[in-house]
Amino acid sequence: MTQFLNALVGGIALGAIYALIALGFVIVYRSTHILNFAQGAILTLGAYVVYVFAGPVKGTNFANPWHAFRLNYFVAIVLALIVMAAFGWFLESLVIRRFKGQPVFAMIMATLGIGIILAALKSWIWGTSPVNLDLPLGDKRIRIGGLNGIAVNYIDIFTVCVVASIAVLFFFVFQRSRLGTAMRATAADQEAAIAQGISPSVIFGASWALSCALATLAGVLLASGAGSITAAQVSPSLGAFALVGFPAIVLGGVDSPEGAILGGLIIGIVQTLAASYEPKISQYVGVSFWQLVPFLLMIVILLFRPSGLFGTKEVRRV
Amino acid sequence: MKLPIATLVVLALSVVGLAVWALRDRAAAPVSGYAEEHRRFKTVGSKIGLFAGVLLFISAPVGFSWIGIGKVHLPNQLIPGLPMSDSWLTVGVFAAIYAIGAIGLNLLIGNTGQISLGHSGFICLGAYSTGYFGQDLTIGGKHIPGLLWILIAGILGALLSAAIGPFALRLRGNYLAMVSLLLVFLAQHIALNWVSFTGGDVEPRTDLPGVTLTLWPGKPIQFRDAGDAIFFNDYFLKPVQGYFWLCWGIVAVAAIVGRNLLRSRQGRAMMAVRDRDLSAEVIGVRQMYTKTSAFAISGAFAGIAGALYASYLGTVQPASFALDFSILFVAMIVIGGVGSIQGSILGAIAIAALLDVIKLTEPILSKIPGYQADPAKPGLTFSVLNQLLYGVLLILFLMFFPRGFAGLWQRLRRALAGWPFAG
Repeated sequence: MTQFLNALVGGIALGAIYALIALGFVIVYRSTHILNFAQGAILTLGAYVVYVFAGPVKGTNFANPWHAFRLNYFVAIVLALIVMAAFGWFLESLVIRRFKGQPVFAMIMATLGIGIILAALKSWIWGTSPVNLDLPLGDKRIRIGGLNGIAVNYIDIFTVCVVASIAVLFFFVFQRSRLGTAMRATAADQEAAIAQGISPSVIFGASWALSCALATLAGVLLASGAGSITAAQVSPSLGAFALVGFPAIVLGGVDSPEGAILGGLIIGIVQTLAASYEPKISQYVGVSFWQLVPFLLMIVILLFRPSGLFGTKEVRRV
Repeated sequence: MKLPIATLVVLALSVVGLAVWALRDRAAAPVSGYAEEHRRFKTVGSKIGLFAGVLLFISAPVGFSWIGIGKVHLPNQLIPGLPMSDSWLTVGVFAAIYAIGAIGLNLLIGNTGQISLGHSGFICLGAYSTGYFGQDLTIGGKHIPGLLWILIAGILGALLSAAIGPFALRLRGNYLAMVSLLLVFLAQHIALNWVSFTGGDVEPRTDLPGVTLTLWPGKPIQFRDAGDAIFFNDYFLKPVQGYFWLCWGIVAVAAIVGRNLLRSRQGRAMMAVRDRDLSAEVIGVRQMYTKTSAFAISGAFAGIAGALYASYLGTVQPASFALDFSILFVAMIVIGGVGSIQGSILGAIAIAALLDVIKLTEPILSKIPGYQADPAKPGLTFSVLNQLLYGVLLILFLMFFPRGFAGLWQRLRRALAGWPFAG
């Protein structure tokens, strides 16, 4: 029971991160109808940008000119969010805009290409070996119910709080503000939106900026050790977690922000449970089966409910 | 041999002139009717091209020794001075293996319009199937012949891939791409966990078989164990030389199969499904059959490519068949030309040769700040630059030449046909 509850707590934290990633996918998909396969590379880049600002663990001598700032962890995250949002806007206006209205295949390949380039740039600048962030929260945890009770990491609590406040803020912006209304209008009918004086290019840029900022936040939270199945390090392998955003958005419905958050949470919990019971199930399904679980779930959902929990049903006209 | 500059210039100009003349021929006239479209050789240039290709195929590994010119194998020579050096022959072998996989993937993505990122899963299957059918399985104490287990790898790939067809009936575009990710993860998961067969990633099995062909009794040609390879009046062949012929031979067969497919009813059905699957269904194209068979064909080519890959290397690791490997194949068909057989081959050559071309530029490269010779350290190493260039190429081709090398070739031909006038 303790194991189950522990996994549940870790799963909620991991699911919150998946929710951020999935929200990033949904925002981009709604506005530009692109499935962003570069999200993994952007997420990792974001974590490295935080590393640039926050610097390595104090006392380690790392002769890389890229991080002379050594700022506070939280300040570094805010700065990285701004930098990566600008990067997202730049990416949209430089590359993505040219693929508007092109076949799905070209768009997928374009985002894959961006991912390849970003991965190469990262190994150019930072190499491929993992680096450590100087974490103020560390691996401190509170225990509930004695020594054998549930242990909750501070970083998990922090993650859930951050994601919850971002989700509230996002829905407030998305439903109430001018920008959110403009985004929804553009997604619904681009021509009508233009006729109302909304500039689609601003909306597209803003969605990519938002998506990149969310990915950055997800990346730095993963690299800080939230969700307990990750090593608390910044490394190129972080990108693999972004792919789990696909099952999350499929579960929630690819064009539904609330679905993305719920889908992310469910996928995170299921995956952490599978990881937690790994010693018991690995003799039947193999080692590190938990990495496969979200994708198996995705197939099942796609075959039986392709529009997910909240997505709009696809209608095809001949 | 040193030629005077003037001779070289005259030689180069005459080659260019010949090429222009050959390309101009008939390319100007628009194609009128099926008979014209289905001619074997549309221009004199294509005849010359075929001749040059066959000559290159035969002589690249051994030079012209078979007609009595030169030695069997000269080390460290580049393309113009045949034969090629070992490292370039290796590039050639991988280009051929990639080309087989890329032709299969192009039939699926380029001609049937089904986006799949799961190609490396089928290559993984083909690679490991050689371990059983080529090595573990013995009938009456003897291994089964080389070409047979390559064929079995293809059949296995086709069977597994055909199982994806029904999924493609319900899922399109983005969704199919997401589902195909599972194939890669599943294949890797099985390869990692079936330790008794694959050896996992800790001790990957190193006994994957080399191809042995018995063309005449008593004289088997072993393509990998060089000590036993006897060919061409007792000349010894290195494995890379043997595999160059073997793999490019299979590329030729694959290209002919692919081209025939596209020229036939099946190919037209595939393209109809790509352009609009509902309309295709309305005019009587069976969607289920067409999609399933397209997946099967692509899987068969992937299985054969995987078998050759494993057999040439002798050992493979589960980590080789990651998502990046699939993306590599999709990049090949984008760079080469979506929906074109020649394009698949050109793209495969470009991707396979990229790293070695970069290595040629080392004298210039080493002057760039940030250049790093040690591949383990952060910095601009060969592999980083390779990855960077490959990504940049992919994006640039998508933006500016969406029809790849094949499209560029068409444009060049059209430009030459009307020269000096535009169009």
